[in-house]
Amino acid sequence: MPDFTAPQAPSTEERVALAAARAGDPAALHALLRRHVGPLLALARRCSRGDRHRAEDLTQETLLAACRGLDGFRGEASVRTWLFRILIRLSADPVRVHGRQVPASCMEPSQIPDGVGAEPVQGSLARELRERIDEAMERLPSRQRTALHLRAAEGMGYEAIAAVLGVREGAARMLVLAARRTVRERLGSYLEDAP
Amino acid sequence: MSCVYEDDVIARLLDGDVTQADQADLEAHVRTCAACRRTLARSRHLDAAVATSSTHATDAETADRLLTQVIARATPPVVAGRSLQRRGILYAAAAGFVVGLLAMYVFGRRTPMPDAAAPRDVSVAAPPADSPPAWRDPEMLLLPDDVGRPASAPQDLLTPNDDLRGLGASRGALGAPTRLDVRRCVALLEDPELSQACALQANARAFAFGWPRPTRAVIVSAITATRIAAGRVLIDASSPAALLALARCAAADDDVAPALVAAASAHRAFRQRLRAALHDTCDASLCTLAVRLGDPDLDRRAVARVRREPALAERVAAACAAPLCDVDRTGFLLDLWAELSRSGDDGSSPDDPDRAAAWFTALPKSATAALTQTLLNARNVEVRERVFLALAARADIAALAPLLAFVEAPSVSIAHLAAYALSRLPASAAPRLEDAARTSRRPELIWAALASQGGAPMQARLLAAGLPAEAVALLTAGDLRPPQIAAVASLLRGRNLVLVSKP
Repeated sequence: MPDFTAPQAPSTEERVALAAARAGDPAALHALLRRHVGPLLALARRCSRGDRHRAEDLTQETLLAACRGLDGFRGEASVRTWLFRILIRLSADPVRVHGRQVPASCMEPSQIPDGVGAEPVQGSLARELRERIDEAMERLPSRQRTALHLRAAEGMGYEAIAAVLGVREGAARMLVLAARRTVRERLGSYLEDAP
Repeated sequence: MSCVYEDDVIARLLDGDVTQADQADLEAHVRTCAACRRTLARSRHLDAAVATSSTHATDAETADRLLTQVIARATPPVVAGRSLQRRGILYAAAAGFVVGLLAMYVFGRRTPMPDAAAPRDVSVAAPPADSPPAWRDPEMLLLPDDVGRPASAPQDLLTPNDDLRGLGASRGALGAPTRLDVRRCVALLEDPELSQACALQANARAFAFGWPRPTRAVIVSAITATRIAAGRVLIDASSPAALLALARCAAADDDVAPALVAAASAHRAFRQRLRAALHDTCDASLCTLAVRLGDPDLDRRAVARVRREPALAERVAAACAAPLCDVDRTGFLLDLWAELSRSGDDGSSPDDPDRAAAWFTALPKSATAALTQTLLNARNVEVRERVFLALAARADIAALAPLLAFVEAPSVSIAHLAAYALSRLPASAAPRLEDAARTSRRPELIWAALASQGGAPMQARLLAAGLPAEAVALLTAGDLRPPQIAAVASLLRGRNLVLVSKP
């Protein structure tokens, strides 16, 4: 069972690093943000529908916005929740991140080819399952996709998910529920047969 | 097979969101309900797979690289909460100073000087609270250029937004810009509306300092400055997209091009990238940018590219007419012309006056001297022919003396071409041509040049010299080509037009 007790406020260590970073200490800023870059990249990848370059851009943009907005961070949520919230806000602004290109994430979910229809082959690799999971996740509406990712991959509580998405806790719960149901249906027998 | 409690049961069990007593009940239900049991197993498997899939999305090296780049860029503003304040104070002070200057300028121009003893409020009134934000005010773009304020004064504060300004300042320390920077700058250069939005955003920031509405000229200059700043960032970038965007902007935006080309011409790595791109990519704007830089190596690459794609020739030649570099472009154009003639792919003959007119007419004035020098140094007959055609196209009286000298040349064909070039000179050259005809070894060529300039007096002289009226009308119709000049000269040979005109 994953640990769903995501911290709701910065830890003492984070507060110290935060104060030093605000005073202009680059090392403290690095220490404060480093542990969150991986999760940010993972979420950015979900938001970018698997586009690695776009995910890196989005992550970088998020970190830059966070650096510039350190003074505005009130410490009511954890640093990670705050960073995720920035990333979600930026990912909803494709022009800012991608210039005039139309990002893949602007595609309607129905436009994304469905590669999940085929029956799995016995003994298929775990990698194939991951690919099917990624495909199924990509076809989810963005909020459901984000909510399920935060719940399953980051182990965040519904309150924190709600804070990231800017919705009520009940709505966050429903988003995760709907996302699980949809992905389960799309994956068909993969979830039983895969290792 | 399904269960009405399925979703609720699964969610609560998965999330651990149940009391101990409820958990026992739910687990008992799951033991008896196959649908819930299956869904629970699949959901657990799903959550684990999503977590695993996400783990594969990250790697430490990428994370470190991204964070290091970001911190390097963000540190100056972060190092100071104080520096932000200091910058704000500087902006406010600068804005106050500029506003003061503007107010003095306006008052000085439009109103009589008040009593020196009377207090004068030189500050500009803040906009009314209910007025729309400047960047949303459609009237702002319709303001006349002259509203009594010097356009240059506020420009410093209206130029590129903070991101570009900061990036420009820190480029030396950071090396190449990030891919994100490049994308933004490419978007700015490729989309004028985006540039406008960016400049207006900066303008809005200036408006917040309490300025009155800026002039349209100031806004336009802010847009241009934004695009130039974006272009300068791209000059440092190594991506092909950056290079293409830069080249296309330089080809299409006359306001931005000089600054970009000046910055690019001093950038060695940029030229190397451009060389490689010219080899790999067929794009007219890359070629035009290359020839504007005046680099011999880039010129060779551009010629090679045009040899492969002759359709690019006219655009490349036209780019040479835009005086963006100090290097003379006549040599390059002659080389390009020779290359096209050699390959024969362009369908034109080597002595094509139309090509000469299209390529050489719009070159700067110094091109005449360069062509004349080439003419004197050239040993190749074809090169000389092209130079004569180019000089004819330019119709510059500065070439009169060398052309007259070539009329006396041993080679008759060269003399004919010189006469053709003389025939294109403006009418103001006629007196000097007549004087030269009296002493020339080949006066008929000079008379032919004069005849092709037309005019009633010349017709009368040709008729008096015994030429049939029909021939005279044909000869003085103008726009004679080199072979026709030679034919006219043969008709005039032995006829004394000087005596006819000045008995």
